[in-house]
Amino acid sequence: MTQDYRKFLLPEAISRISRLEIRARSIVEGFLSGLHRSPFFGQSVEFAQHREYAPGDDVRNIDWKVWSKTDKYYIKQYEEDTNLRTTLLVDVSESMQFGSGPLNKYEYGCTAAAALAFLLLKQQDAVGLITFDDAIRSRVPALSKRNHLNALLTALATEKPAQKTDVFDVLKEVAETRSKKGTIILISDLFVNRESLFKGLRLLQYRGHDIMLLHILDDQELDFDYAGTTRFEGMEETGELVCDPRSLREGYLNAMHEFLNEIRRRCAKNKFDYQTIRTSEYLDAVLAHYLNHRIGMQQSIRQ
Amino acid sequence: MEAWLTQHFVNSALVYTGAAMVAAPIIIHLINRFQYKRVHFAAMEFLLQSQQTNQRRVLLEQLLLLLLRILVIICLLMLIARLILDPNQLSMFHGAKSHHVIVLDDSGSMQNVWGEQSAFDEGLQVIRKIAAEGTNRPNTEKMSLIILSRADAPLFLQRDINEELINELDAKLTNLTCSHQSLDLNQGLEAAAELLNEDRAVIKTLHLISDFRKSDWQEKKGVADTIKKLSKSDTAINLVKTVPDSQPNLAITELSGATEVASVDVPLRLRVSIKNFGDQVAQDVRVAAFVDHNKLPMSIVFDKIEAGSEISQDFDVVFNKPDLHEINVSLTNDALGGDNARFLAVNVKPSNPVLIIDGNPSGNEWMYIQTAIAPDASTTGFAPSVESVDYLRRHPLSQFKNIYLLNVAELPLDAVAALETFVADGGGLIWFAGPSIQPAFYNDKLYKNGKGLFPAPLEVSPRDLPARETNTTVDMQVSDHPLFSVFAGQDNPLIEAVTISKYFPLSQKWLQTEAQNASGVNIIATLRNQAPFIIEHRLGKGRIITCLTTAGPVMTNEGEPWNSWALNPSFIVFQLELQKYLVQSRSHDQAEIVGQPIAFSLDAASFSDEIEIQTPISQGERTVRLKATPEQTTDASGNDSLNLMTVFRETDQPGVYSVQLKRQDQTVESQMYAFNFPVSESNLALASSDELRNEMGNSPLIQIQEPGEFQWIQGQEAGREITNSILVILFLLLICEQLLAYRLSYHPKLAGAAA
Repeated sequence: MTQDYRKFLLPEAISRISRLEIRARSIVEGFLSGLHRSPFFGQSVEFAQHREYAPGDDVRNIDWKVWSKTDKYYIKQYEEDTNLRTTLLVDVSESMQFGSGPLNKYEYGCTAAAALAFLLLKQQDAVGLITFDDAIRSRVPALSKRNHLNALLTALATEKPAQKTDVFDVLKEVAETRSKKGTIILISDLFVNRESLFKGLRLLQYRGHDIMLLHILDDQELDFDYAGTTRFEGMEETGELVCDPRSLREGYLNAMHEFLNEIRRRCAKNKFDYQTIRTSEYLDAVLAHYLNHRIGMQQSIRQ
Repeated sequence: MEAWLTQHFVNSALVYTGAAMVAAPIIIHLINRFQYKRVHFAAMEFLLQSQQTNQRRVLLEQLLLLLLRILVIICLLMLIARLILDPNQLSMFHGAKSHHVIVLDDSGSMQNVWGEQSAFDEGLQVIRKIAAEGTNRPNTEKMSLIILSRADAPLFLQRDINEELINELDAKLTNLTCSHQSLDLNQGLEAAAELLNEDRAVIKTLHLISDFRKSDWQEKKGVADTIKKLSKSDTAINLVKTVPDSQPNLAITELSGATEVASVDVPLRLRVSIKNFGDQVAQDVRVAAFVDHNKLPMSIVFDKIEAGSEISQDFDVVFNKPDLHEINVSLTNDALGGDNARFLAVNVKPSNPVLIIDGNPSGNEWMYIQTAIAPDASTTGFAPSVESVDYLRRHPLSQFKNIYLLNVAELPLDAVAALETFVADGGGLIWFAGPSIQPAFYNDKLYKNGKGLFPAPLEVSPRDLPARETNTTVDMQVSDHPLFSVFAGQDNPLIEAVTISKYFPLSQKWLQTEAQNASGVNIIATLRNQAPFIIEHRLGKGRIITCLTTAGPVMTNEGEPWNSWALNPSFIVFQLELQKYLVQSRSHDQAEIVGQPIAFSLDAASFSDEIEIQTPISQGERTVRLKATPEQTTDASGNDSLNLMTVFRETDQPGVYSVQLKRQDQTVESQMYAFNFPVSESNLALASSDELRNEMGNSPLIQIQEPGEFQWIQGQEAGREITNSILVILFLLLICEQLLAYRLSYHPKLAGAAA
């Protein structure tokens, strides 16, 4: 994979593109151009296997060449026919509005969600979207139509997040409404009650969903590079504090580290796919992670 | 409070400003607390968690950091305001007084001049500066000032340093002049030690201001010992040098001659010596000579004087009239002015009376002597008078310079007493033996077991000296005595031609047993057979020369002369030398060293109690009148007499002091006293600081201050400035502050390191 294409995937560069659709396209195309030798390219239209014809199957799929040789009806099965159903669960609560770089967590999350949706739709997969804060704010059903992207982007862009995150009710509702199995990608900073988060995720897992957590965090949240007396005003009514951040840095980093470890540990325990993503990272990080995840999924399906 | 501050800070005015500065870290801290930036932050949960766990630690660390910064400011304040602390006196902070005893060396060498400066003026400047610094701390400083030449009477005694003292000091120092004397530093130091020991509760400081010459320190160990002793009694000692470098110096070290025999129209030979105290050769040194302030039409030139060496030259002076005359010689000015001139007072008489007593009135020995010493009165200046033995009993002898006793058989006892008094007072006596001598009388009444007028007992009869066998030996063998210095040299035909046939031998027993132990008896010439021939001995102040043969060619019974010396030219030379030699012991008007008092003891029967003294013309010619006080005194013979006594002590100026004594008959007797600069002050070689330290050890209380540096005066008065200690503390505080601040702050990794 060459590095040159990535210069177009810098958050700074992407932030200058105002329309989310164009952002998504430039990210995905940039990403794919970097993957031109990838075995995954065109995977969804390639032949996967033969299966004996059963009544009800589309006769268009009967492989007549096989019939002529064996006098038996076999149908061709293609990858796209597996019809992956992906639901993007995007946290749009107030805490996601925090950002110290060119993109805040919300923007980075939306951009990443859009890029994923674009990629998936391009591969004929069905993509649905749910945005939430303390409750579900918008809901877009999973469809694989190409023009479905607009609906997804509209739902992302129009949100005005201002509410406190409460995630269990949301996940429970998702579990109830998403009856078909699929992949659920949660894009959030996970500043929620961990118990209710994992309780909700486990509920989804019981329903047969494949869970993937994209943990979006800002650089300052991870590094805490503040200096000088600062008044920290908590988002989502978490209080405020005037302090010399340098003196609290060590304690803060310890607490953050512990938090990330706990998330990581719980994810590993529940077999959730988990990835921490900095808002300063290249935006294809999400896509790369997603595709890695897909490989793992493919392998598990073919076994 | 003000007094406390002035006592402990050199720049006390800065303390208030500095105290306000202490608030700076606190104010900066508070400003920082109120000037903050706002950040909307999402991960407050973790921040609050961190704050909760670290709250106490952060508070303590911040307080500690604040404290360190305040301490840094305080240290800087102490450095700038210049805190003074004496660790030994910490318990006595409140009301502690400081006593400065200043000893100013005003010995002659302090007149050392270089450029526009002189060592003495530098010393005065140091005193003024010390006093001026003392006024910065009112009511805490006391000062005593000891001038070395008046060590027993301090100029200031335990006076508080204030404006009044400064004015008084200024007036006194302006009139103060450097003495010309050679003074002992030890006297000043001992006086200072007494002053310092009077009050034990004060901080004691001794400032010794001197030029610190090598000769003062290395030759006089007592000075270093006294200083060491003082430093052991908690006295801080400042040795303040006033002279930066040793200066070359030429000094006239001698102006002398047989002034006692000076008489009208007879050339008086004087000797002038110059010593080069520098380390380079001096060339073409010219000395001018003056008689009664009139320059002689000649100058004495020394072509070359090697470094450290002394060269003498003789010159003659002729006086036209009998009187007191003042002679002085002078050099061109150099570093030390005092030793560029030397003075001599000469009492020129019409002639010098000499008494000749011939034991044989019919003989003619007196004639040989008279002819020898005064062929003509104006030629030698001696006026011999020939008298019989009885003269000794009836006339005062003090008018004579010397008395000859030729071939005297016996002396009346009162004549012996008169002669003894004459010699004891400094008169010169010359014995010549002869056939008339009665050895028993001589041995009994004149020898007196070594306490009399005769040096040794005689044998019972004169003895013949065996005739010479060869021409290679001489009858008279002279020693290196000054009397014979004119005969010195390998070839001496005059002495060789002298024949001695008969002499009076000294007692063989005395020669064998007592001669070795007889103190003051000196055999200055011997005969061919090694028998003593001419003997010198002393009695009181006077000298006696005894010649064991006749003064003239007295014939023996065999018709042979006792000797042929009187017919030899060397006899005349010897007699003239003898006159000069004997009178030197009577040198009451030879030159003295400045500072020596002139003591007067006048016979109340002859003199009135008024004494008038004129100081040297070169120093302004002041007339001082003294009144002598009568005192009853008892002389050696037990006679009581009333004497007028007084002492004149103001003889500091080199030069000639004229004294007028009034007799009871209203006539005036004049005397002259010449006082010269002490030669010991002429050597200006300085002791280096290292040499001084070697002498005194490395006590921290003894500080040596280099010339021209006055920094030490500020801040070293009541104690020592603890600049170094504060600097160390400040350094440590800064390191701690930086370490703590580094620990409390966040330092992002460098870009390179992060990559």
